[in-house]
Amino acid sequence: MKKTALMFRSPFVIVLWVFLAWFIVTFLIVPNVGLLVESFQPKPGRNAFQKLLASDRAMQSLFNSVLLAFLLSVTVNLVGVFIALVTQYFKVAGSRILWLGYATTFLYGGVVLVTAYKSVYGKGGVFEALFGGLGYSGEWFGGLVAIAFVMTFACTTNHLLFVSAAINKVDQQVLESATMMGASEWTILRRLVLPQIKPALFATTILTFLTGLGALSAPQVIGGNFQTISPMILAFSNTQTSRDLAALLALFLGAVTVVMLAIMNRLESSGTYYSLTRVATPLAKRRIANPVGNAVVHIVAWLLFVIYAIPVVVVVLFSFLNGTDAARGTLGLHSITLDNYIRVLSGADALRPFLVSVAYAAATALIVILIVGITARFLQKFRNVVTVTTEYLLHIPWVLPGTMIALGLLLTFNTPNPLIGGVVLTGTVFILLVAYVIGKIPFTLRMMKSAYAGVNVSMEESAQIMGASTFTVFRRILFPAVLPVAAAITALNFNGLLDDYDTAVFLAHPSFQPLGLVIAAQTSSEVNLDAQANVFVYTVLLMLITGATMWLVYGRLLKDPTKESGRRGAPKGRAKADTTAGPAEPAAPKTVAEVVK
Amino acid sequence: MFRTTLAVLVAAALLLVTACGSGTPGASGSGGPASGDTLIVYTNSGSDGRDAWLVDRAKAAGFDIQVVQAGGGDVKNKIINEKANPVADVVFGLNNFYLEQIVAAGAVEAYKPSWSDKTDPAQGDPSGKGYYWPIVQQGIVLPYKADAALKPADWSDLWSKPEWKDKYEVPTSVTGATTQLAIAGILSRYRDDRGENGISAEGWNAIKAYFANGRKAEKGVDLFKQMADGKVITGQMFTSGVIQREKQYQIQVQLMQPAIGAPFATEQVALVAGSKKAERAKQFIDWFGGAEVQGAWSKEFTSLPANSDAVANADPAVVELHKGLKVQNIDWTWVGQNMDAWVEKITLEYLN
Amino acid sequence: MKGPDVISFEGVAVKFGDFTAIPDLNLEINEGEFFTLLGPSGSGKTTALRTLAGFNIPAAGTVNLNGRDITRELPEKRGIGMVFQNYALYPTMNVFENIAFGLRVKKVKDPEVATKVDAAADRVGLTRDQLTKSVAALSGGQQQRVAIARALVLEPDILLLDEPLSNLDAKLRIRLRHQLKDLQNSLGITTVYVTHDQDEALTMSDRIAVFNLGRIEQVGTPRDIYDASATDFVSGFIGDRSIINPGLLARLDVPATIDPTRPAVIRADKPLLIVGTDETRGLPGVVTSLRYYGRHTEYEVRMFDSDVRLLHKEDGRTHAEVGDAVQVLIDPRFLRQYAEAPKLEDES
Repeated sequence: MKKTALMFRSPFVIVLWVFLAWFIVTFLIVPNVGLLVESFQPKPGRNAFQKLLASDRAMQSLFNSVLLAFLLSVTVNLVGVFIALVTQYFKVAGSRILWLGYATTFLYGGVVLVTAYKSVYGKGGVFEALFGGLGYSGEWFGGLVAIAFVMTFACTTNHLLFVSAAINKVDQQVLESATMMGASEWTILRRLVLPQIKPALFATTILTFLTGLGALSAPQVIGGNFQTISPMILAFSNTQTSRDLAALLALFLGAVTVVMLAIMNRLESSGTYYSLTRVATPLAKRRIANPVGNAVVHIVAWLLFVIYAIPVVVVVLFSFLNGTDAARGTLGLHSITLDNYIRVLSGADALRPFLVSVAYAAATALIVILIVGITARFLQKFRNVVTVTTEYLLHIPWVLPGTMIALGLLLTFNTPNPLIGGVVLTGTVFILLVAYVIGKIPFTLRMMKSAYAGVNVSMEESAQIMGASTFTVFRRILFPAVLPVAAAITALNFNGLLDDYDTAVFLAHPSFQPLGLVIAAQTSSEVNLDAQANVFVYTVLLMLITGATMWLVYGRLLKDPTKESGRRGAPKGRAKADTTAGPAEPAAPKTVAEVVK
Repeated sequence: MFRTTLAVLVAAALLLVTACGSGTPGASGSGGPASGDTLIVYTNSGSDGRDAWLVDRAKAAGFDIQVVQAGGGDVKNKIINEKANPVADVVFGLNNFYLEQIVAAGAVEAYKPSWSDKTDPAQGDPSGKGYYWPIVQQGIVLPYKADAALKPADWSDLWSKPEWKDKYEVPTSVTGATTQLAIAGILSRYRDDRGENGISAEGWNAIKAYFANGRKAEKGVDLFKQMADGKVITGQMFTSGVIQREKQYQIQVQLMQPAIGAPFATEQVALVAGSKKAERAKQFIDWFGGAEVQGAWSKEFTSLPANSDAVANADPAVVELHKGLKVQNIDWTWVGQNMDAWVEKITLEYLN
Repeated sequence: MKGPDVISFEGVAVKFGDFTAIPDLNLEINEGEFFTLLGPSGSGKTTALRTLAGFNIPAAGTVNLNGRDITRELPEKRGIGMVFQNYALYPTMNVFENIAFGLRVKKVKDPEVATKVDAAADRVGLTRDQLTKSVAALSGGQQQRVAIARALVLEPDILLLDEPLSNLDAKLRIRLRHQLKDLQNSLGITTVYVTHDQDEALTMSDRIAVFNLGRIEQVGTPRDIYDASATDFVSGFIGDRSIINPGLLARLDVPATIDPTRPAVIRADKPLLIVGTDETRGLPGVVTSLRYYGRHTEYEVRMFDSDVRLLHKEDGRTHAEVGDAVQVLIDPRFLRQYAEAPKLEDES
């Protein structure tokens, strides 16, 4: 029986794929193809390709983006692996606090984060004010150095999640045996641990590379002379006549993304997994015997903590300081005030943008995990023409920038469209929701695919043989098994959408404007000296929401996966045989040889 | 645990729904839901409290409006992109050449408001068809401290005289309306219909030099702060922003008054084509552009109204500021046709 | 136990891409039998089991269950119970819910579920308070019991077990072996058991099929397999044996079936060790090594051109040391010879 036919034995799968086909055609293919066709309509005497090649700036920007991507791949890995080791692997004093510091990247990002860093290290910033007398100048904080600095620390989120989890899965006894043979800590790390976490590292590196490639906020705010591609794409897509340039540049980024995607798929089929859960017996932390080495590690770890924490502290602090004083540099104790908060939170509809953003983010996160959570299972289990095509198509949102996707949706659903039952989406609340949902699909898909790959296949088989249908197996066995990962991704998606601007500016309904638009209005305000303070207040409030989300998911849900069932049981003992299939236990794929016994 | 999270999120969604219903109608920008009679107003001139001010004032006059504020380019794009099924009813605050682009796209409808005779036709729709009408006069000027060592006589000083190197602020992107207006002012001098995108080679050299010679603007740091700190002597600014900044940064400035005049891209108001509440929108425009509202607006937001009757009610400091400023003669239709191409060329070749 | 055959494989071939795991399988399993598929890794025994379960679809041939052709039927429709090697217990459910899962799928009502689960738990020796525990809190042996109870509670026609004891420690394995067999005896359910452990196969099975490279080398009772091995592979895979070379063969009164010019084999438990200086009953040899097991000793005795292994029960009266001259009595009726030249396992 051909594999494709096998997959479609179940009516559940057929229904799912009909829905997917409609969804992909309606929201991914038609709008974007339409936009691309319109952008690339030949105009006499105009050759977009040549124009770009002729432009030094465009070529330099492309080069810069690629350079940044490679640079970040290295620096983020260095810092990321270090912080993962320092919080999971080595015995370091105060590691819990360190973790909290490093985890601040979960709380904020984008323009808000860059602005915070700038207000610390940049010209006229806190450091200059405090250490100007000692010779500190904010001059250095611009261009590639500043971008690399900020993004290196902002992009370690994935390391803290996935690389940490991978380190935790290293076999304790492997390390003990090496120690007994006299291997140094460094040797053990280099020759035993790192090779084992290589898959997680590869996967995270690719994500970092893509982030660096498409960097927008940092170059815009602190880039100075160092220009990258995304701001240019944004500028061109906002015109009527230069869209072909935007599309061409975007397709370049898209092509690189597709190559990375193919590499990621290759890695995963050989057993790479994103894993978020801990094993029942966590790794015992290792003491660094060498006193010098120990001291160095501690110093660097805490230095990094300071770097991570300072912007957050500054933001919180400045949200309580008078904005005019801050802008004029005349701060003093008199500047402490609650005015900023009062200003932001008073007014009849002060809370409305928050509610709108939360509602959109929540709805998006839930819809995405529902669609992708189910689809990913089948994409992971069956590799045939249908699933491979579907998977690549679902990655379209990674290939094109958010602005272009929003534009495509806007132009396509401006008029009654038969694909959606003759309804107009523009001007409704739903068009923004659609844009958000499709934007989050690729990342969620990759994560969920990995999660499913980690579920032991015999769990599904045992349920099957007891008579459970495909749907029941999915609902009662598979989904609960990947629930921790699903919850974590939902939280990440939710947090990431709260302060979106680029999509909202195109598609938001006038009565339902999310937070990003409000914040942007502040930053674009030209005379209001309180604007910066307002942004700080919004940032703090945002961080409260994102912090609450992360605590809900990571603090409670992921703390102990064996508590998942929610049924009260006897206190956990230690399982003797290690053969129970825990959630997201990465099992080696069932190779043919293994199965043929 | 998952159930709890779910419950929390559902509660948040429900909160939104109730906020929907309980929002006081006619409140600020993201106010209550649009009822049948609510007008949606798009503007790029709604920040710093302008939107709330307008909503309240309109409510007092019996208009139920919702203001959507965004950058000029974004507003223009929204109006054009949504033209098949418009969301907005009225748009105000955009400058001439943006409106020209919108007119070319067929996204606004001609309407002659009650105060039309109080405005200078040279500042509005040149076609005479009345697609848009001026409400706020906005000049693009080069301000400089009264005690500045170097004072510019014209824009061309900046790129042609070596002593101006790095002494004036130059923007890092050309997507902003103010920048585009400044460029329009410069390029208009070099109009050559046989040249590249309608500009002579000399003109392109001038623009190239303009961008190369200046000190780049820093995002988030206002021009007037740079001037107060002595980092630059001058830079582009719009007239209604001058007085506020003088106060905020505590410096006194004079405005350059070039012989050729300053680019005056006046802010316009227009009726969005296809609006479902066209009649009400027209009434709003009549009210909004009238002497009383514009006079109050001017006092509140230090701008110069285009309505000659309103000038009498305007802030005298503002009127004083605009004295002596000549309006540069610019063909806005031609600018509207070519601006996108100019932006593209500058972005690709001259920006740094 | 003779009876109508309830499971049959007819001409079954299973392929994975280009690789043929099983070329042509013909097998009949009778009702109520404890039938073992025995063989080394990669021999095809698990593939055969999974084909019976429905996880592999044969490229050719038919699989029948109770007279029904189930070759292409979905696993969930076959009414088979299966215990997996790693138990495949559901970590998000407690023991009770794990066992009850199949019943819930069939929409059995709660009271009946409770009754059946309790009964199944009793049968496998799980206590009531273990039912509320999380599965991760159980020991390996207990988990295995849960897996069995889960399979049995649905009262399937046949029970499949895929190396269920291989993850347990030695003592536990032996104990559970007995319990499993007792359980099967009392239930009378047809059981197909996969293992590579010959002790399990011999002690538990009614009949055994020995697999090698996707083919069955021999089907028979444990005694058949052990004493009347049909092929050299079976003879070598099961139990210890010695290679008797022609030099020693010449001194034995070999039966007509044995060609004295080629090596033959004999089980290690057949030769008899005779210790005592005046013994002449057997053939002489010198002890070259021994391994003491407590209740028996394995000796290796050099006799002419052969190294003869023999098991000697420690009766407390006779034993030998390395280097001793001894007599060994070999009954030629137990010699076996095959087409292939025999190899000792330790040599491969």
